[in-house]
Amino acid sequence: MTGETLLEVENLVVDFRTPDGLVHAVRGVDLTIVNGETVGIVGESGSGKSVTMLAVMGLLGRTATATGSVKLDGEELLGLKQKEMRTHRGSRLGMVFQDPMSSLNPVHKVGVQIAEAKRAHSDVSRAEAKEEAIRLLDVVGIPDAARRADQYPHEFSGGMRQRAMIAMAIVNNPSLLIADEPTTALDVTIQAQVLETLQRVKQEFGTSIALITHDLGVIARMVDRVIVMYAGEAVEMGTVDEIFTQPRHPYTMGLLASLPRIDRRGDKLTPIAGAPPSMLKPPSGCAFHPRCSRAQERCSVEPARLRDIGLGNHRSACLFAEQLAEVTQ
Amino acid sequence: MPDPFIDDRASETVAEAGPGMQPRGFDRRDIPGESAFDHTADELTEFGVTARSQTRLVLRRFFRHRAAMVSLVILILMVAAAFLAPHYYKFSYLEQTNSFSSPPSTTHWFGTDTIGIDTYASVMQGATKSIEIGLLVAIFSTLIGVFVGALTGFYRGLVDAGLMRMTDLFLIMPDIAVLAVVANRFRNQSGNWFMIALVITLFAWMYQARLTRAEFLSLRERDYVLAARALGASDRRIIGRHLLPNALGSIIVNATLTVSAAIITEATLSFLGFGITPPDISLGKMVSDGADTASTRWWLFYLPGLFLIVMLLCINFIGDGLRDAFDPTQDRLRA
Repeated sequence: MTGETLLEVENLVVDFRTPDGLVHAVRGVDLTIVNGETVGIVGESGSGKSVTMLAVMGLLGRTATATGSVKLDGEELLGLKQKEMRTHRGSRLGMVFQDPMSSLNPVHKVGVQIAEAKRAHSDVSRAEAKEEAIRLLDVVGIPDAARRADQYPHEFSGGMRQRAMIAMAIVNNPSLLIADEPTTALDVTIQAQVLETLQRVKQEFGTSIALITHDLGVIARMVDRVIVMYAGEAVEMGTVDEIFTQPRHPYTMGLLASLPRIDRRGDKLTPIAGAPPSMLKPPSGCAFHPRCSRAQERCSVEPARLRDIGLGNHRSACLFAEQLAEVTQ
Repeated sequence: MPDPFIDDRASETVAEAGPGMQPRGFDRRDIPGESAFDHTADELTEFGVTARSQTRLVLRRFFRHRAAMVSLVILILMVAAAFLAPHYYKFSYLEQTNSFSSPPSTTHWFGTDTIGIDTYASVMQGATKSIEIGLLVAIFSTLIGVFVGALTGFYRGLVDAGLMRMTDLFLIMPDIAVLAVVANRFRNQSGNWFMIALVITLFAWMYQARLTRAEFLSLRERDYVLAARALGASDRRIIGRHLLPNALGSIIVNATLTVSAAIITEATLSFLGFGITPPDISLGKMVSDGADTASTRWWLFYLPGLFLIVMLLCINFIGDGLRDAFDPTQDRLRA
């Protein structure tokens, strides 16, 4: 199974109708996730990383239109009726959200919520589902799982709630788990525990994980491959090593340069100049050109799509990707 | 719904610091730090203390609401007195005695009317009908209102526009006038109180619908709804398992208040002469009949009226207490 393509997104375009006009949230994204790998999707707020994954889940809402292709195990998901999509959600696709404090229903016991998720897709008895819920709470590292299952969400801490959410998302053993900034709302020590939990889930069940984050530290620690998104487009794609040591896109380089470094004391942080563009009217050509220090004239004219830059699977959208090599040495 | 962990603490401080201050004097819980400590020890299961479920938290807050608890006790006594009257009171509301227009006495507790019918027996029978009508209207209008409110709040769009315009239509109709006309059709049929209840329901469900819609509009955006969707939950499941239980507090409070509103509407109709017909009795009808002679035979006017008012006050206080119990964040200082 490992190595086979699990998720294949081709030329995904998502637009939102708003009172101000059409917001072009995702503008032609291609990506693949193979069985058993963890893919990180990074980018700043509004870069379209969450929207891309919500489109995969079919959870965009009615103000959005999505075109292109989303294939799971070769089966086209885009354009499925809600009723058909529902059979995939929670069973083949699981999702964990950013804010664990509000992702659990306050009026139901945690164990009951997990058991219900199980029963929504599997024909098991209440008692079996409950047992499964307790087992999974144990897997995600909730101590004294049997007793905890009978408690309400408000009796759980933030980290425990997020782990309970992970348990709920994997209860039907999905092939792809989408984690949308799962650690952003948690403090640092708890973040580490939640990431560990995700690792354990991956090892135990062989689940592929799509990890959406803007935390490069999380990326470096967790994922096999990275997709960098900017202004609704994938701008660079490669393994963690490739992205961190030989970035081939000015935006990625800017992201890396803006990180605080432990080996450079006292220096000011280097931000990326400017602000993210409005997606009502994305910049022409390469969307990053208004903020790019290396921008040339052709950058504002020629469309910059993710392309082969002669480094195998390491791909970049920068028109001058090949020339960036000497900069990073 | 807000985090109950915090809610509980908020209500606890108010409940303890409010009325308890003077009589009990200095209390350990009056020190903020101490009370917070108490609370934590209560809630943290790691220390072997069982934490409370949401229902128990609500009940506990309700039982601490004095006005509501006093009202609940009085109302229970009144309802028991009304429904059990035939078993403990020696006169029936259908029976003409030999004492005409006698004032309250130990034999006739509330006196008798001009044709010798015992007023206490009549008031109890009238209260029974009022309560039956109030409950029926509350149940029916809650069912209709929650159904309409849930659909409009959840689906929005065309469903919302259509159903809400219909709701508005019912809201702007002059209800008493229309009720009088409709109720008049059932005027001289005995046992028409059930029809009266249905007719009142026709003009009572809109408030529940609007309230439920508002709750649903806010609740449907919560993360746990998105999480449920991500797990493959159907619309029906999201409405039934996730939205409805979270909106239940407001729905129950409003249903309680509907009981008293329906009783008032029935009394008004009966007062105007369009209400339920003999042999059924209504408190509104009794007040209406007694109004002419309020100065000479005061018991025929004041006693049914007083009974009605006390009953309504109790129901409203209970509704008030329930609202505070379900939503302690809106807590005001209460006397």
